[in-house]
Amino acid sequence: MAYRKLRASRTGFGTSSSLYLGEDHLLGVESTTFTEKYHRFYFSDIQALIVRRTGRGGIWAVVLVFLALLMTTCAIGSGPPDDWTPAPGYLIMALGATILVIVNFIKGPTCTTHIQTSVAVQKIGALHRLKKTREVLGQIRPLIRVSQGSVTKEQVIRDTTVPEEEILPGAGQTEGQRVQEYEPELKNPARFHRFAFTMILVNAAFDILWIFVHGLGVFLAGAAGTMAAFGGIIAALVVQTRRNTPAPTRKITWAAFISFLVLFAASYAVNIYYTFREGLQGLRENGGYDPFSFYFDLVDKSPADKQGIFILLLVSIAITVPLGIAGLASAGLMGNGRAGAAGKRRNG
Amino acid sequence: MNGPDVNHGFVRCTNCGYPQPGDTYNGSGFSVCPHCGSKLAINAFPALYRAGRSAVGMETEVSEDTATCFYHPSRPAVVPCGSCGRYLCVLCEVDLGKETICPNCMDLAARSEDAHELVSSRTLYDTIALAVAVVPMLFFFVTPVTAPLSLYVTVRHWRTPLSILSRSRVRFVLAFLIAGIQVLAWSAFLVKVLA
Repeated sequence: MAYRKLRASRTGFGTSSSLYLGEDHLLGVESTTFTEKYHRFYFSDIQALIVRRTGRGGIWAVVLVFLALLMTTCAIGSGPPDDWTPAPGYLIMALGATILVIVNFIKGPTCTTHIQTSVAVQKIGALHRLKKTREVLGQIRPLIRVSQGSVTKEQVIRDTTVPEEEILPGAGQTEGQRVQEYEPELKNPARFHRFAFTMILVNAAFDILWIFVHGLGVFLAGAAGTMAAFGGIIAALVVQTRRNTPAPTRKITWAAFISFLVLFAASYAVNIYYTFREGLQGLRENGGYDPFSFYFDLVDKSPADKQGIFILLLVSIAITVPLGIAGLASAGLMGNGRAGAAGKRRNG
Repeated sequence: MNGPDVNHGFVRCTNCGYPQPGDTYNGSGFSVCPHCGSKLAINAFPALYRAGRSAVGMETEVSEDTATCFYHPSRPAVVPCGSCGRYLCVLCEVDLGKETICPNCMDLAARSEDAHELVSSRTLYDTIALAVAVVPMLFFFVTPVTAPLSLYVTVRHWRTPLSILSRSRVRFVLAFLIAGIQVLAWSAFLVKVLA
């Protein structure tokens, strides 16, 4: 059978998804490097095409813009204090990140697409960008209509039969069961998210404090705050996989997780750079290599003394403060709204 | 979300599984899921409102002059198998788009890999052969083992069906040439060392 490739595909690490048009069906191909798996969707069996907007593209945009800015900052600031010539290595990475930002922008918003048949709802990995998905669905829809006929809006409204027990809490089952399905944790459901976002703000407060007050206590308290915030984010991510957290809170939690990962990576890179630089400087001046001199400086002196550390600290504050405030506002609404109402319902 | 005839008459949110009301289907833009707030665009087709397979013809009684299913003698036959000709009921017919066959013929066809419509996965031996020939060149000392292996895969699977999509055997040819050159080079090296 001859297949025509549709202009939609997705390539991951060693895997790819693509979509082909057959005579009477759609063929989804999931490939690893050495194998291919096929999913066929006959036009006569397709019940619905479901497209859901996702925030993945937005998160990538934020991460890539941040990386581009970070690399540009490193390119300018990595040389001696009186020399502003950009370092070529960082400049190439900044250019690469900028190109990725542009490509991400051109590809447009992200989505996930599912095809529903009478026995399955199958995700179509190849359709993950809204622009391309619209284009491909525009090609598929007429073929499905030829196979099945069309349905008017009035018919859809008249014939859609959502089982009553699915809509009304308690109908056909006990409230406990109903609540378990959609609200698995009614007891303060937002507490993990609230904790995570509070700790993110506490961490930001310690970062600000560290600029003005130095000493082992502030340094250790800041490190503990960072660990608590990251632990809280992971706990919130675990919780939101098991219960239906509102989309904005979910997105902010994921954004916080990715931001922390990027900040950790940048922090490691900057620390390694300064460890070697300060150590080698000590070797030149005193004849002895001391890899810990940089860390003693971090505790005793202001982070403003070291350009790279200071820029990283400012970027960290600039990211975590808005994230913490937005997340806390969102998680606060979540706790007072949905769970509050559900709690009242349960208590009669 | 999978199972026999699980979906009929409505569509669920692909994020939270909450059933979506009918007035949000086939709109021009996105609608918002009443439960999780996800933005959804739902295109519904007539198949969504068709009665499920298991519901059609199941209640029909069999009279003496009615043809019955080969596999279910108590149920009326609705179609003959396009391959073996046995009469089939609604439960046994397997629709392949152009023809209908019985589960037994489907099983046989799937094993023989003749029918493209039944293939659910394929191993790309040509890519494997090429990878085994090329990648070890980074660590050339393993090529005395990998080059013959690549030649074996090429010869052994030359006739094995590859992807169901149109695909030439150029990878096999390349793998054979590269692995062959490696084998010849090692042979020449061994001859020189032994001499």
